Order: sequence, then structure tokens, then C-alpha cells
Amino acid sequence: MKFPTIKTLLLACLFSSTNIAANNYIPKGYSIETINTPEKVEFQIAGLDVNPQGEVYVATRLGEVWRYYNKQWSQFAEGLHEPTGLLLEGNSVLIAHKPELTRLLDTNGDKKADEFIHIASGWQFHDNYHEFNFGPVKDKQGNYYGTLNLGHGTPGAFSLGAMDTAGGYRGWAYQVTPSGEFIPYASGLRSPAGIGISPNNEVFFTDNQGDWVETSKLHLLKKDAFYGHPTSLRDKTDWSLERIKQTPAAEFNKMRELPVVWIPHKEVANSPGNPEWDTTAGKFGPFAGQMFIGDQTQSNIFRVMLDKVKGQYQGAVINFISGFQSGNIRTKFDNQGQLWVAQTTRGWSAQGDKAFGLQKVVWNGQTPFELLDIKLTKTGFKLNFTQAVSNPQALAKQIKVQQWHYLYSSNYGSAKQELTQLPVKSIKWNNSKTSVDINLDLTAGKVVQIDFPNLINQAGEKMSVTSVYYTLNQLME
Amino acid sequence: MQAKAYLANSKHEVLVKDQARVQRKKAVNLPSHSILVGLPQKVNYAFNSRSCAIVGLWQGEFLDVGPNIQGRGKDGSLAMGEWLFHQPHAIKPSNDTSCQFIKYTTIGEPKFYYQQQGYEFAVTGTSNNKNQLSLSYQVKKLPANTNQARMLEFVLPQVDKLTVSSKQGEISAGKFKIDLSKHSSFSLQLNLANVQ
Repeated sequence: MKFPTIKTLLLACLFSSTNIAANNYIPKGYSIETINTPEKVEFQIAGLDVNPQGEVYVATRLGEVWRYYNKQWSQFAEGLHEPTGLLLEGNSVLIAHKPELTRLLDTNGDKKADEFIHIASGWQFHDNYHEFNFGPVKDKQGNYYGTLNLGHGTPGAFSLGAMDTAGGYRGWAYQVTPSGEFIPYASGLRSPAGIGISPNNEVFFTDNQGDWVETSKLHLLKKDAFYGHPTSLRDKTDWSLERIKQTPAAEFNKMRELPVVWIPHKEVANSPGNPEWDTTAGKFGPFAGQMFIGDQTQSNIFRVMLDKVKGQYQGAVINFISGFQSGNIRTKFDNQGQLWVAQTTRGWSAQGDKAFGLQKVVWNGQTPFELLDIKLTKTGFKLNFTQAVSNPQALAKQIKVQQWHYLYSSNYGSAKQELTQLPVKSIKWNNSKTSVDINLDLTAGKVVQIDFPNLINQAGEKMSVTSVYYTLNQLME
Repeated sequence: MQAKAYLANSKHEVLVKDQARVQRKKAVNLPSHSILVGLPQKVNYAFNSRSCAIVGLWQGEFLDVGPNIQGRGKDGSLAMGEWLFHQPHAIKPSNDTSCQFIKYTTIGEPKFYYQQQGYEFAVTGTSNNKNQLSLSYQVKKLPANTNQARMLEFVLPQVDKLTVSSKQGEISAGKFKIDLSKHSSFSLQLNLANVQ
């Protein structure tokens, strides 16, 4: 979540509606459907899950939990403390709210929660508005994971930029074991508004651009890792506040984990939510296995295409669909292959004309003409498309490749550093014209943007999105 | 101790009708981790899940959560009635503030379960009218250590407009002592002066 200036807000108010119309992208075959939320209810959703029976549960900022089934809403619970995560588990609902991870049970069958069981609260909550508790996700071993936001303006807190911590594992990820033990799991997080678990049982999280975060990013969660925001180190016994203050950024830079992908600010996202994997086996189109993430500011959804190089994840992001009514903070696939999108502005800015809502993305079976994925090769990149390109010669004329890196510092975000255009050495299409190898001289540690405009398929259709951003942590040998 | 809403344009009142309501919110005059209970009799209290103490009591309407959901929600919710006590006053054990909160239930009156000093307790607040609150404590589990002290002492709020009595224990000098070897349940009767 971000801190827009008044000027930014005014500009957004003045120009947002026209910009939305002009810049929308929506792949062929996909549409956005709006779910009516209960009338006269503040329905700022920040927790969302769908069970195998197709029941949708949401948690709202007001502290309520609602169930949606057969196009009917019913309230399941109230009184929770600004929930920002919801997980359905058997006949219970787990809620991540500011002071606690809580299990809600309906013990008398009246469809309302009547037992609110403490699961974990091993962190400090100082009543600060920014001290969110995101999650939970559960791994195959039965552990829960969550992420704890730093504070902002917390009295007496420690800060080296915009965000702060008064201690107690703010800016940490945590694990709760099946026996209920709370384990501080990793440090250096800032505003980690989205957490998800892959089909391979790996936990990923997003973090929002800001101080010590050059642009929004996606990380693989590793035990005892440090992710870059130094203030959270105050909870480690070997880090005093003085030691943190005296440590140069370059030292923190050596300590920190690199993101799996950088998410270019504004071009793709400002405030990403949870990663959601397409495990629909084709019900949602050709992007099976890829990650979909919503953004609260841009009110869009983008795809993440993972690549594994030297055993480490890196990969690319590409915009997928825009034009939602409000800020997309949570995404979840249902058993029909529909992608539910929970929305809130929550005092921040977002594209769209609604303060909150619930929408879903549905696919009608028509294959869109889009970039399917991108892989690093020894000589550059291989781009795969969902359909054959009928004008492959156009690529050589219009392709544009740029690279840059970011500056890690206490500043609020980073401009692109050493932005340069990369000459394309050669282009080689496969016989079916569904795949192209682009030969480039690459440098590790860069984000590489490839623009591939004006390609068309056999039907003469253009792609809805023609820019992809690859995070090049490592080169292939 | 006036606690009426001061942000007229951010009102979002949580009112109690015929059933008790529970709200967990940042609230003015209450410590973090407070769980607020509004009863139909217009008596409201707060249980704290960190200290397992009763950390606030007010009379009248329940809660305006508007300030807590306005904008980014930097401000605390407001008790809408008149305070009888709030922090630093509390009803809490005098020699141990650490506890392990277990859960709360909402069938009937809200009931809070927790472990403290080796015991597992349940406490619930009930009321017959706006001038009275009964806090009923039950010992749900005894300590594993049979040598654990059986005497429990609570500190009581020393405030005007509130008197506390109990049929099971002794009250003197602002403290309530109860012998748990004789009483597996006990209650505190809180008599509220009419401050509305």
C-alpha cells in the first residue's frame, strides 16, 4: 500500500476514467463479471477463498465474514479486527487479522460462527493502522504461513525511511506449526500484502514498492532469509538499533535475497496482492501453471511466468487484464476455472470508480492470441505464443529491447538505473511460427523489457499486451 | 469520562439490540488486543486477549467504529456511552499479567477462555439492567502442578461510580481474593452508578 501525494490523487480523479478507457487491455475470450455485494454494507474485501463446493467466503475491512453461494449472500461472522486474509479449511474459516490468526467455527449449524479460536499471535501489534497481518496459507506438512506489515507512524518506533517497527516481528514472515508453535520465519519485509503457496508446496509473497523496496517484487519464502528492509532486524538478537543504523546499504544489499521477479512500477503494478496459480487444467485458458496477481492501485491482473536457472527461480511479468472497478487485492480460482477478484481501496488510490467490490474473470473457451511464456536461453530469450504469428517479419522491424536495474536504498522506490536499449543480434522463428528465439548480449542483474508490437495471427488479430519484463538474476551457462 | 464521537462525518455505529455483539477494533482508551462486548442492557465491557483482564467498562450505546474505517483507519473506534473505567484501570490478577488466550464463544453471552497461573478459566459478562454487570468466572481446568497456589487475587478498578461485590471471595483495599480450592466458580458483581 502506497502514499500518493495530493497532486497524484487529484490527477487520478481528473483523468482516471479516460485513461482507463484508453489503456485497457483484455485478452480475447475473457470478460469481467461483477458480483453485487450486499446493499448498504461497507464491503471492502481483503480476504477471499473458495471451497470445492463453490462457496465463496470473503472477509471485509469492517471485520465481517460473508458467504456467497447460489447468488445469495449471508453473513457468517462479525467483529474481527481488519482482516486481510481468509483460508477455508474443512468446516472452519481461518482469518488473518491484525492481532491474531483465528479459526472460526460454526458449532451449532446455524451458518454463523460462534467459536473464535486463537491460533497464533506471537507478534506485537501496536494498534498502528499499517500493521497488517497477511495470510494464511497452509503447506502440505500442515504449517501455516503469514506476513506482518511494518508500521507507519508508530509511536516510539524505529525507522530508516517511511516505514517503522516498534518491534515484535513487524516486517517478518511467520510460520505456525501443526502443534501451534509460532516461528519467526524470515525478516526484511516491508508491506508484504500477498502470500500464496504453489502446487509444488513453495510459499511465495509479494512486497510493495517503498523505502528499501525499489519496485514491487515477488519472492520465494525461505527460512531465516533477509529480504531487504533493515528495520525488522531489530528483532534479531545480534542486531542492535545502533548496529542497524551504522550498517551501509551496500552491506544489507549483500545480505538480502533477490526477488524472483521485479514488478515494474506503474507499468505493471504498484501494490500487488497474492499470487494465485492457475491449476484449472485449461478451464481458464492457455496459461495453465502460471501465476496471476492482482494490483490494488492499477486495478489490473498480471501474469508471472517462472523460469528456473541454475536451480533458482527467476522469470517474467506481463500484464493480463485491466479495467476492474476497484483495487484488486485478492484473487482465487474456483472449481469452474473462474478467477474471483476481491477489491478494496481502503484509503489508498485505485483505478476504477468503486471503493470496493467483487468481480470475477471468466473465459469463454476462445484462445486468445497472446504471449504464452518466455524462457531464458544461452543466447537470449525464447518467446512462445498461444497461436501462430502470420507476420513474423514484422518482429525484426519493430522489436525493442531495453534493460535497467534499480538502486537499493532507503529512498521511496527507485527510478530505472542505466536504462539502455539492447541491440537484437538475430531473430529465429520456428517452423510453425509459434515460437521465436531472440539473440541478445545479456547482463545478469538487469530487468529486460521486450516490446513486440503489431504481430498478428492468422485471423488478423493483435495481442492485447505486447511488453514483457524479465528479471535476469542469472544467465545460463 | 466522556467518550462520545468527535468525528461526526465518520460515524459508523455498531448498535446492540437483542443480542450481545463482539468487536475487535483499535479503540480510544483501550489497550491493543482488546475485545469489546456490547450487551443489550446497554452495558459494555472489554476483555483483553494479551492480559486476559477486563480493561474497560462503559454504559450506554456500544461503539462507533467510523474513525477506524475512515480513510486508512488511523484513529480508534469510540465507545459511545459513558466510561465507568478504562486503562490503566482493569480487573486483573495482581501478581501475574501473562496469560494464554484460548478462544471466545458467542452462543448465549460471549464467553472468554484463557489460561493463567496454571488454571484454565472462562469468564462471561451478563447483565439484568444498565446499572449492573456480573462477571462470572469458571475454573475449567486445574493446574497440572498440584502444589499450585489456590488463592487468587485480583486488582479492582479504584474509580467513582463503580462498586464491586462478590459472594464467594473477599474484597478489601481494592483487591478481591478468592480461594479456588473452595470455589470452582465465582462472580464479581459490578454495580454501576447511572451515569447516562
